[in-house]
Amino acid sequence: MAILFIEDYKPLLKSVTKGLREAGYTVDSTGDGEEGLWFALTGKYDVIILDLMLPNVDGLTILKKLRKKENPVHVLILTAKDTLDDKLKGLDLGADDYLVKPFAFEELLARVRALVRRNYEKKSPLITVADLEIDSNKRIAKRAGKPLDLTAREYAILEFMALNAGNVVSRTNIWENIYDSAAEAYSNVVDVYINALRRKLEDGGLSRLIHTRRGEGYVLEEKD
Amino acid sequence: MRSLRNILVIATTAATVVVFTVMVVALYVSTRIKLLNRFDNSLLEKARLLASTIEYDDDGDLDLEFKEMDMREFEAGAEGYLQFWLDGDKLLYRSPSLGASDLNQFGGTDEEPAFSWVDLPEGRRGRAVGYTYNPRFDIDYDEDKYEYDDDDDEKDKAKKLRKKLKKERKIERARSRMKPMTLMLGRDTGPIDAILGDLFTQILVTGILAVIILAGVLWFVVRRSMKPLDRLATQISQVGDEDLSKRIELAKAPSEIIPVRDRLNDLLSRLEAAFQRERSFSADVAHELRNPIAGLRSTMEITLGKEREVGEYQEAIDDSLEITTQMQDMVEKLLSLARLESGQVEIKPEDVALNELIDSEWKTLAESADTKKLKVHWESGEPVRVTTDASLLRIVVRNILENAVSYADEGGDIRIEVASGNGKADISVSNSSSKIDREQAEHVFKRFWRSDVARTDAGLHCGLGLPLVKKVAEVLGGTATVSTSDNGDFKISISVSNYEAG
Repeated sequence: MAILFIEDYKPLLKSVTKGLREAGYTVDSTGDGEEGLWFALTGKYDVIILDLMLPNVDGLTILKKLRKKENPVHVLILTAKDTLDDKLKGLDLGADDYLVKPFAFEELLARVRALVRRNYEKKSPLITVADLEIDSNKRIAKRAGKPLDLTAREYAILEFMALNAGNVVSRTNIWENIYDSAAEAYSNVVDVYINALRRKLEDGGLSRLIHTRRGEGYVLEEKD
Repeated sequence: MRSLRNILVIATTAATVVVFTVMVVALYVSTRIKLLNRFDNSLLEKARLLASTIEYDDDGDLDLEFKEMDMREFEAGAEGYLQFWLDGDKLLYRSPSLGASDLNQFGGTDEEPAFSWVDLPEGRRGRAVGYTYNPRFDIDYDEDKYEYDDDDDEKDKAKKLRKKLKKERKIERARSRMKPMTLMLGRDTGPIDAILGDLFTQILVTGILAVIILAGVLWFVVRRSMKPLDRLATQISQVGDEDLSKRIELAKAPSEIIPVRDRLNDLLSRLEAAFQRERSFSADVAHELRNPIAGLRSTMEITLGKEREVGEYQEAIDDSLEITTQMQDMVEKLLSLARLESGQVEIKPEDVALNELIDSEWKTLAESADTKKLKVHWESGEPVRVTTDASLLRIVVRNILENAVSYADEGGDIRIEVASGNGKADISVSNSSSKIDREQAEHVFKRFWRSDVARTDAGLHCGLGLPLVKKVAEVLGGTATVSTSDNGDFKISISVSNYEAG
């Protein structure tokens, strides 16, 4: 899950970016409005966390430009402005959520999760594919009732594939979802993670869930 | 309760009553005097007429001719009283109206008749005129009768002369018997008093009616013209604490109320502006405090979220400490501003050496200036002295120097200049700054305003330094201005006069 975080207050930018990454998200962050707009327009993000008062280009302008280009990305406004007017303005311009500083980090995470679910039109935090169960709130996965011991990246890939269950996801898709734009691409990193996931999923002789589509990517589904 | 309306009505009515009374009294008195004058004149006229009818004849006997005139006014019970005395106190005639009583004599001569108030019979009161005179001597003496004619003979002549002498002796004799006559003529003044009384009553009734009507009209008019005051009060009462944007309209206000309305509206505007400032200031403070608190909270929450290496904890504590320091700086500046604004700052003037002040403040900034490779143009040179509060001036110097170091372009210049004269000292600090333009420079004294440059490293600058500089300069009786030059220099100039108490 990829998040763009645009926030000009550096200590907050630093800590929240760190927290989001530790929660398993891929995070691009910037303290400059102009740079933020460029990221938003060129990258593919599940959620953009947007401050309003930004140097060069302010948050509402970024939001307006995104919506003008019919970019459907979910935007959460994170700001110190707490008046009803500010909130209405933000939401009317197409923001999906509004959180006032200071905030509990857990709340920010919960709201981000809710927005991610909406991306896949899911209201429940639970994702089920055959005997695979994923709880996106608790960030745990179970196969046949048995909890899987996954790293944050492995979990992120599994959740992404489960949300797209039955559909082919390319290696690039997966890549974008687990690495921020600053990371350099290794062609086989995705394959390495997929292999590790398959091992953990099929532990104890269970059936294969992640299938390879030659030349296209991977698909998570139950095959008869 | 003192009511303008009552005061106006009562005062005007009272004034009218006083003026009216004075007028009535004056009118009464003057009318009375005039009437009495006329009365006296007619008395005298009558007296002269009567007096002229009394004559002595050739035999020296008095001929009281007036008795044959119309004397009805002197009959018993009538209003006229007449009395004649001969030779002082010999009663000659007393009109029937007097009955057995006498009029009192009170002097007066033919040339200067005397007038007086007199008590008359039957308890009446009146005026009288009196004087003593010599009645005419009516002699039948024709000179021609005794003139000699040419044809008169001696005998005739002697006869004529004898006759003439005889006549002259007779006249002489009669003249010696003549006595001065004293006349007193009185008349009841009752009719005058009656006229005056009527007049007085009429004027009084008319006056009282007029005053009552006037008071009513006044009350109505005053009430009507005071209406705008009531409307003013109503409108003022509608101006609430919540909404100061309301203004007092008061259409068709009289010219006396317009200044009041205008001043009130001015006051409301100033109040509204002050409230607005206060409100937006509080909002700004809240807003500006939210960011660092959010930073602190998320740093701590995330760090505590899981077990970490010692180094990570240290970093988090470092970060938190930095945020705390920034918050402290901001709170202190806010408190300074608040204290300066409420006038809680005591100014202790002393002789301050500006150069030394700049040198000592620069020490703490020299390192950061070096890091940014700034070229500093500052020569301590001749000491510049000014009498002012040293610690407040230090705040000014520190903030403008900090500002210059923070916003100077990397590798740019900082120029510090001081000068003094005419009882004041000037400090100016300029720095090369390609990022701030003239338009932005106008905002630097606004609280919490930060240029985009400052915003880029948000947190370091709270946008209170230069507003504080300006406020302190003002408190010290000086000025703070900014200017930008075409080659991209941003300059802050401070001018502080020698402080004079009061």
